[in-house]
Amino acid sequence: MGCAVAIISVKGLGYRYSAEGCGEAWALKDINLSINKGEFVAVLGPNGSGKSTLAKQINALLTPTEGEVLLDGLSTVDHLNHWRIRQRAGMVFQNPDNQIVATTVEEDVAFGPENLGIPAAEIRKRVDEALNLVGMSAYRLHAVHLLSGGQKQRVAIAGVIAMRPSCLVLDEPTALLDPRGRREVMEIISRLNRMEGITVIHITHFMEEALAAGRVLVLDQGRIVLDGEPRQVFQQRHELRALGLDLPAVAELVLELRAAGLDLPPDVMTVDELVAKLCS
Amino acid sequence: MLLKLRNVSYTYMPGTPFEVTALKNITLDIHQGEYLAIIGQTGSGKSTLIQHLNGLLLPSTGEVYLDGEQVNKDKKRLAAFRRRIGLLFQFPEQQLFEENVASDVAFGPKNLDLNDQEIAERVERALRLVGLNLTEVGDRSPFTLSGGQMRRVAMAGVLAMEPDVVILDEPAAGLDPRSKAEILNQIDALHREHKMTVVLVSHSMEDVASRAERLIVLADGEIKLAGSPADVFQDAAVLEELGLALPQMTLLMHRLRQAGKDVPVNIFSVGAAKEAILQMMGGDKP
Repeated sequence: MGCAVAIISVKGLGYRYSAEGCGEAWALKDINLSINKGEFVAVLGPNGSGKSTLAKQINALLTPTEGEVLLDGLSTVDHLNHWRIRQRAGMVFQNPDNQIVATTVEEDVAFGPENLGIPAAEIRKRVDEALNLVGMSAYRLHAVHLLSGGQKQRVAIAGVIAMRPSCLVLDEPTALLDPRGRREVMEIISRLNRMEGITVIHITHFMEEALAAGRVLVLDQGRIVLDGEPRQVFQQRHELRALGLDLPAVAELVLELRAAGLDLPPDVMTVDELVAKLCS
Repeated sequence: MLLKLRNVSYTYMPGTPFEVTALKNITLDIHQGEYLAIIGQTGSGKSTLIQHLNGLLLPSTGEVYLDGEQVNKDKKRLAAFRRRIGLLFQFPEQQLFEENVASDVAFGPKNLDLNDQEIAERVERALRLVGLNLTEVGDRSPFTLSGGQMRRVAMAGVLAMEPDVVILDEPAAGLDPRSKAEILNQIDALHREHKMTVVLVSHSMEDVASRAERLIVLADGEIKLAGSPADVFQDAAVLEELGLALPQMTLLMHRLRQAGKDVPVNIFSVGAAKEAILQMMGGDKP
């Protein structure tokens, strides 16, 4: 990690919603965080812990009440940086239906680049590339509203990819999807991270999905309370329980089996790993 | 038999280029006091089906019966039908609107011919059923509650109508693990302790496998599989084909069996998996 370059750096970030009814509570407080180029970070935490607020700070949809957020060295405090920041940090939200802007898949993906004033030939190229990356090229002329949930999310991701971002911020993109849709979206995210080197920040309530990440952040009441590799974080059963979070089901089972006297390593967390251990 | 669907088909926008047949020849019985779950991919017809269960949609062809009486366009009868079947939509907290929790829950009952005393009792009872206390939350604005609490207030609004059947469309979507367990446990309690007939729509194979008594799997508007969780989660390949998956613990058991181990496959919870594996390893050896 010696030559790793920080793409996101958050220093002393605090944020308070000023709308009435929200009181004086800090939605985020004392956040210090550095995320390197190419990292895949999962963000966990109970509802209301500040996950979405943090995500919106990264692409300047919200700006700090105190402290500073830098993306590629650009501070979100400076309004003049906002367009450049939002091009570099693309966001995908929970409900794909709220993100559709056009009738066909390729028009939808072209919407972002069109607003950058890019020449038509270049837009064509970017749209084709983006659809290819999410495996939706065959659907480019299809109506978006007739696609499955997983396919709609893949189109939403393609729309962000067509902006050529260096960082992808996904706020519970799988929460509303069926099992196949969830798997499709997770495969695409992992591939974009691995093959294209795109930095990924993935917010989720599914503990299993966090295992795909290289690093897990756990938020509680606006603060980062755990930060580490998934296999380390998921061994902190008591801390996670206290926050109302689960372990991945297999990790939970392994803890139970260890307590019952079976000789298993504590960092076994997937079905394949456990089958291998039990059958060796 | 409480609800009966006989050869129900439904077509959206018939006679237009956008015509889509969302349900095809569905025959289904829902029994008094049962806990039924409906699973299927996005677009498989789940939402269309549940809207037939409370008369929001009427079949293009086929019939729906409640207690043997056919549901039809008759407005008065349709209103009575809908009162007996409570439907909780996805993200129901988005439909909260009153200035305090008590008024929000009272909104439905106020439209029935009830006196103030009866309404107050229903509000108190409905909130209790979802694990909330009227004296604690009654005067609060629903918008100051947590996501999980807001959703329970919305559920109380449905329960305050005292329906015979409650249909819940993805009641745990977007909730954190604790809130999710809380709301699903409340639903279990409604079924177990109050003999409520429950119809749950969910994308979580874990939740339906460990909680429902009977499952139906929809695909392309048809019922492709039906039966107990043990029946439905028998064949991984069929479920994959329908865009679904096995619950994690069931998948684990299938894999162990493929590797030659003698384990049961109708395992849906961590606790049951633990017992099965300990037995497989030859008891509680150190």
